[in-house]
Amino acid sequence: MRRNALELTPKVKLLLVGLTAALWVRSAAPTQAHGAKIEVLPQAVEIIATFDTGEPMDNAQVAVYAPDIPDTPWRTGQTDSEGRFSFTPDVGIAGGLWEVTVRKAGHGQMTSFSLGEDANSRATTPSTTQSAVQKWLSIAAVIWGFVGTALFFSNKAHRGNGHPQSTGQPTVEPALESARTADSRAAVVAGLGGDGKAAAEDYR
Amino acid sequence: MHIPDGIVPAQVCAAGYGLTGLLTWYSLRQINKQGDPSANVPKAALLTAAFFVASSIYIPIPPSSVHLLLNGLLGVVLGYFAFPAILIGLFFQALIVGHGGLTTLGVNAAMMGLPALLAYRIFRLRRLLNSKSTEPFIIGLFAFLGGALGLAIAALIFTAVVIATVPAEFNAQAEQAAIATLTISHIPLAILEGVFTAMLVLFLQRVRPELLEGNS
Repeated sequence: MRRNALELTPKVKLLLVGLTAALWVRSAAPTQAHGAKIEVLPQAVEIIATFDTGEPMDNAQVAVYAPDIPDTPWRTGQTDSEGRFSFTPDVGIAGGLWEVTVRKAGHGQMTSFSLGEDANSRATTPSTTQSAVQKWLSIAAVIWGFVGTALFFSNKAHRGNGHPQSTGQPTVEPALESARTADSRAAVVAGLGGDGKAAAEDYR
Repeated sequence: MHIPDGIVPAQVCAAGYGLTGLLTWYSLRQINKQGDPSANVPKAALLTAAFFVASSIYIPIPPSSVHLLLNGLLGVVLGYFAFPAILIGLFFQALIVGHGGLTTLGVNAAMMGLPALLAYRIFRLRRLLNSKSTEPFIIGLFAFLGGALGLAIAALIFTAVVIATVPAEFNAQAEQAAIATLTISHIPLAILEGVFTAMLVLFLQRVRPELLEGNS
């Protein structure tokens, strides 16, 4: 378990390379020195499980649920060192959604797919659709929200503290100052349209 | 170290929300007892932003890498504000970054927020030393303990919750071994966050001591 990527993130990407996948090549038992058998299973499904940093979920536990028995796993297993796991769905089972759960140290993901029509179908969990740029833009927007909140409240706190500190000083200056800010605020609100004056009055 | 959707059963999610509700109520009540609740909001908002980004910053700790958590730091610096700050930060992490999930928001908030409140208590323990409690060494030491233990306790709660909820169809031993590796890799991170908390607290103590006064 060299690459323990567990803490990398809870966001796990499950890539189901459906039906295109995998020539599943199986050799015969090693005791038959001259006999060999190769089976090609074009119906095999391969799962690739990675953390959202791109690191594979190696040795993660996999449970596959068939459409007809959704509460007991149809097959369980472990991913290999590259986060891959293959299985061949039983074609005898009626159509419906197959579900796959991958889990490693409390991190994991579930996805579902249906067998069928499109031989080139690929199913991915929806959470992987965000690009890195989109993600960091969203992060920046949220941070700006927090910073804005901080600025708003620190402004309020300063105005609250300003008056007690000015005790003993000529009171004209602070009064003028607050009148000026209130005016400019009124102007800004009025510029936005509507009954800006009234809004400014309320605010004051 | 966030628990994503679908890992723990519904009962655990519900219990997490219940516990988080109680802790939020308790924290807000304590905040309301302070003189001016909005005075500390700027500090809390900025540290919520720091907490929100921290989970996207990975520290390479062999054999893998772990991300920062900063819950102990929030507890030490913010006091009771830490709990709502962590709750809000986790909500945005679930929505934007995909860390954690909305069904497990309660479990995650309790898992990280309760140790944060404990970290605050640990930081305040230094007042038992009376006259020595304002010495930089003592302040730094207790800030370190708060920051490091806050993270360590959260990691232990995570381990307990995840081990207790391994589904029957999975190989419990393999899962426990994987969790043990993960928990051990949090020991260096706890020390790192403890040092970081001590540095930040000592810096604030020197530059803007009034920022810490509310919590001392």
